[in-house]
Amino acid sequence: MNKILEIFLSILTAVGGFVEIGEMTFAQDAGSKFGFSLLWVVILGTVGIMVFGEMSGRIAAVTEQPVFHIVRIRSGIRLGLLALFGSIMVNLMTCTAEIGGMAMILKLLWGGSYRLFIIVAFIFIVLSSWFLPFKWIERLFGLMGLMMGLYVVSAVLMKPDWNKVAAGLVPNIPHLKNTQEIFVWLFFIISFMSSIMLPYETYFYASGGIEDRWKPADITVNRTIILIGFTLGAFVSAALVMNGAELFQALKIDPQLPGTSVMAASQTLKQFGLIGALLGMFFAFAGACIETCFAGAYSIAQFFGWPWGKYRKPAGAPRFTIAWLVIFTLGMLIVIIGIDPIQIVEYAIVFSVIILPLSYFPVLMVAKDRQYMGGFANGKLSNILGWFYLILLTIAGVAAIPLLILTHGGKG
Amino acid sequence: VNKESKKNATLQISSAAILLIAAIAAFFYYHNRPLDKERLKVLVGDLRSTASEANLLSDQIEQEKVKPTYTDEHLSMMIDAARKTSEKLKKAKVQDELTPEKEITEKTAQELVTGLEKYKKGSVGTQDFETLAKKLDQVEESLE
Repeated sequence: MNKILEIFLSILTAVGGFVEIGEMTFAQDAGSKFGFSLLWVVILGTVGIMVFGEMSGRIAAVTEQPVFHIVRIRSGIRLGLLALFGSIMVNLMTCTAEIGGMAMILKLLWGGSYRLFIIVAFIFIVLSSWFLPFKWIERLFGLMGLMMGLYVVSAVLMKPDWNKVAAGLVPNIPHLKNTQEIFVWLFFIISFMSSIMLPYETYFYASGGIEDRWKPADITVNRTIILIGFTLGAFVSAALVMNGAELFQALKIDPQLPGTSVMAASQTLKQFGLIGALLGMFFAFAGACIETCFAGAYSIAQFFGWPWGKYRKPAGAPRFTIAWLVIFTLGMLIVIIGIDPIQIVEYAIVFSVIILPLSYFPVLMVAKDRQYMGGFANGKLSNILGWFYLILLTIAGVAAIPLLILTHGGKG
Repeated sequence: VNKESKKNATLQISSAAILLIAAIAAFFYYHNRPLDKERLKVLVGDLRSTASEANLLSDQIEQEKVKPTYTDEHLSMMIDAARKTSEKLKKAKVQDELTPEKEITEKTAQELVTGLEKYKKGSVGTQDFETLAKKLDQVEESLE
């Protein structure tokens, strides 16, 4: 019974923690620009994160080795350092954007100084990270993030044309007027997919597996959580696209600010929707902020072979503790000097496309290695999917920067 | 061997430096050249989106779908965004043939900022954001 409750809570945690500020921005914007036609990207991205999340979790359970230790062994020092640097930069950028997003939400809820709320958000996440054990951090923010489910309710209450929704789930090319629109469409496919497949999710998930001392016997539980949790999380992502298509496309609004996004919930659920969605966003952003920061600290510690883990007291893993404290502090300082968090989100998502193949290639190599993984190595389906996504991500990585420039950051 | 590797290192550093300078020069050229249709359209689109959003927000306020604190704070953020775009537009040079579009947009942007400020202060109904959104939409379409 306890085991079932544990799995159930883990699934809910995965659902609540699925969406962060980048995915939220790109999902609603994708809906406002291309209607329901990009819904299939939710499926593409979700299957991708499931494939690599499952592999990383399985590697953690079988070898008890974290992702960045494997990256270093498999890619060598030079390429490994490049992947490490890229991942730290993307994690720092995402963490910064989440702090800015949290401060904006606090300001919308209570009114007052943005800079003061940046400090409040910073203190809140540092204290939570310091005092709460790993499982509690995952649970608290994941479960509170479930309030994002209000966007699903809102999407249904908007009475969408379900035929169009179903058509959007199949890859399609919408009516595009000129070359520039084709570029914007491609930019949104790449960025939206990348926002769902952000590498920190895999680092955090696999490191969490080691924190929770997974064993090979836990592989089935790992698969269940990923399969059900991520699928349900994808509903929130799809609902955001539908909100964008139903409300913002008709009115020609580009939902960039958190305050704009939440209008989709208040449109149907009034003040209850407004407050609930704002709180859901706050906890989802706070959870993602801690995850990105810890993913950065895990990567550094695992790469250099330092003691790491939340199960250790700060004095037992001093360099790891300093690493996460430094990432939080840098993130706070970047937003407090006035850099726009929404712009940081966009760059973080685009740059993460570039490092995704570098991060996932070693994972695939180890997961399919029978000498390393024994009977738990990839089957045919995992290998086919792994290679398919690696090729796709490599193409996306090459196209990301040119498309960012050509489309003026996706604006047209 | 030392001489050879020194030569190689110098060559590599010089190539990297030339590439970096070229990239910085290209970046500055790109940002300082007069706005073409596409870049002007991006600014017009930002303003049109804000005007349209103000219209939606005023509807939601009327139907009591949002809280006063949220309204105040979100309006402040929208004013900041509109003001930033308006200032960017004022400072920017455009290609000669786009001067009329730039002038209309600048004027409408100013009306939008003033309208949002008045609306925040409580002079409800003094600004028709829908009209402003339509005006900007027309400019955007003329830039297609």
